[in-house]
Order: sequence, then structure tokens, then C-alpha cells
Amino acid sequence: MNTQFRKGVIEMCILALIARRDMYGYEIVQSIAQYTEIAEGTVYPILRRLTSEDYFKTYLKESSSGPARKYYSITPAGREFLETLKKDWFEFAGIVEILLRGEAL
Amino acid sequence: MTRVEYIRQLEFSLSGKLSKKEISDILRDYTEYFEAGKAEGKSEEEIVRALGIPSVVAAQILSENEEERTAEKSAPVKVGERVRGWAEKLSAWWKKAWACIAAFFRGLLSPEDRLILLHGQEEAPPRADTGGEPGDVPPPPPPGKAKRVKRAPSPRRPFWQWIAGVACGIFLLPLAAMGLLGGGLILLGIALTLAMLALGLILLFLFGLILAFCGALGVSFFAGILPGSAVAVGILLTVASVAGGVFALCLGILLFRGTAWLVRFCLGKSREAWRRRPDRDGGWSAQDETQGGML
Repeated sequence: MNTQFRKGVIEMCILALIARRDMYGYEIVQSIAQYTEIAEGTVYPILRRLTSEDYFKTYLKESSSGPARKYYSITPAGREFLETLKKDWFEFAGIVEILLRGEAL
Repeated sequence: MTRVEYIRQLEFSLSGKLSKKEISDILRDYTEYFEAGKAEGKSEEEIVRALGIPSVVAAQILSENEEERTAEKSAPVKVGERVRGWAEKLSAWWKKAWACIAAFFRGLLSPEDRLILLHGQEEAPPRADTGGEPGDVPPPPPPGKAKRVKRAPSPRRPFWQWIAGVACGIFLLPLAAMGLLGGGLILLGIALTLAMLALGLILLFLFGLILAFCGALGVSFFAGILPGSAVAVGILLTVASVAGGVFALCLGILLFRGTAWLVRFCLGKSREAWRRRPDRDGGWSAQDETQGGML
């Protein structure tokens, strides 16, 4: 799959995951990696960008094993952005499906 | 590769390209990742393989950073870049202005003249929609005209286009006069201010000299009245001239802006109308597109 396209989709998935509940980096990466094959190191850069664009806030939380974990939580701006992405995606996916099935529009 | 080696390679690939704080923050994230993987019973080797090559990961971090920086408009810009931005804006404005002027003069030509100029032929090129009624359908109005006229001329009659052309000329003439007047007033205001300022200063200086001279001679009458009132006149003159100059300047700028606003108003309205026109003639479309883009 095209890298740019893939990156956009993964960005959307990350937003959707964190919209459900606050998560830390490893958790997010594993949630995605269990369904699709990705270079796990490439999720953090996306997380960093979304955070600096104010779609996520981060906070540190102590963990029983190892160092404190950085949790990501979605901001209202992030939710709004996710809604736009979702709307676009469903619209796009609907058209693609129609085209792939060969039905008339 | 071990975890320490991985982190070190990542640091190496990022160093110098991001701030120290950012790099340490990134390395912290990846260290946390190793720890979390280890807590789940994964080996360092496994985690390294899943993460991907450090240089590729670093490259992605840098490209995401780049993306974010271009998305942020408020990011501080270097002086050189800012100047270049201004220059680009200026040249874009000049291009727009030139396109306006060119479109105006093109608009003055009749549609037939334009066709001959464009195609270098006596006859207009055949059009797709003239099959049924040859010669009956005139070419679409030139964009210059269509842009300026509020009442969209009927494309069926070249007669209307002539009327529209004349109307647009009549309409633009006072606008041009107003613009010229505004520009002239601005220049006059600046010149007047400068001249009067110089005159006032010279007067002040001269009568200051007289004052000093009289004072030195001990002539109390002249020292008291003549230079004193002259100095007052000099000051008054200076203030009045500056005020007059500023007034002329403001008036000129207002006139200029008013003209610009009117032109934009007229162009803007009819530009939309032109955009919505269906493309009737392949021969025109390329040119119209460029004009639509420029205006």
C-alpha cells in the first residue's frame, strides 16, 4: 500500500483508539500492530505530530514495571478532527466500494 | 542489535537536526517502549526488529516535524525568508495588475478582431455548437468585457457586446480619473509638506539669527517684537503646512483605496459570472483559464 495513504489511515486509527480511552505508546502501537503489519517505530512520530498540533495532551503516570508511562488523551480539537476524518473516510470508502463492485453510481 | 545500540543510532541520526530537548524527549519515548515490551516478555532483539531500522524511523520523525512546521503558520520566520515572501507577494500583485490591464485592452477589441489576432485567420474557427446554425452564434464575449460589466451581456448578439464595451469604457474612465487624481494628490501632499517644512525651518533659523544679533546689540525693541512674531509665523507656517500635507495625503489615499475597492468590486462580481459560464469554444478555453487564474 502507498506509504502516504497508509500513514493517513494509521493517523486516523490512532485518533480513533485514543478517542475511546487514554492510552500509552506501547499500547497504541500493539493495538494497531495486531491487525496490520507496520514498522512499530513509525507510530511515535505520528503521535508526536498530533500532540504538537494540539489534538492530544500527554501526561506521565507511574507504572508498576519500569519507568513512568506517557499517556495520550484526546483534546476537543482532536475529536473534531477525528469526526472530519471519519466523515471523509466513510464517504470515500462508500464510493470506492461501489466502484470496485462495478455497480452503477 | 541491543536496545542501547538502537537508541544510540537513533540519537546519532537525529543529532543536529532537532533541539536537544526534542531528541531527549523522543529517546525517552523509545526507551519507554523497550521497557513496556520487556514487561510483556519480549526480547530486545524482537522489539528492535518490530520497531524498524533506526535511520528510517529518524527520517520519519524529521519528515513529520517538517510537515508540522509547514502547517504552523505562526512559526517564527527568518528575516531573509520574510523578505522573499514580500517580494513574491509584490510580484504576484504586479502580475495580477498587469493581467487586469491586459484584459482591459483585450476587452476593447471587438470579438472578431480578437479571433483574427488569436488565430491569424480571416475566418473565425469552427465551433462545436454551431453545427445547426452556422454563423448565427457569436463567439462568447471576451473575458475582459465579461468581467467588467455587471449586467451580463447576451452572448447571442455581438451588438450587445459593443454596447457593453462602450459602457465598460465609460464606467472605467471616471475610475481611472479618480485613481490618477488620488495619486497626484498624494504626490502633491508629500511635496507640499516637504517644501513648507523647509521654508518654515529656514524662517525659524533666519529670525533666530536676527534675534541673536539684536540681543547682542542690546536693541531691546527689535529684540522683543520683530523676531518674536517672525518666529511665531515660522512655527505657524510649519504646523499649517504639515497639517495640509497630511490632509492631502489622507485624501489621496482615500481616493486611491476607493478606486481600488470599486475595481475589485466590479471585477469580483463578474468574475464569478464568468467562471460559471459553460465552456463554449475549445479555442478560448485555454486562454480563459489562464486569465481566470490570474484575476
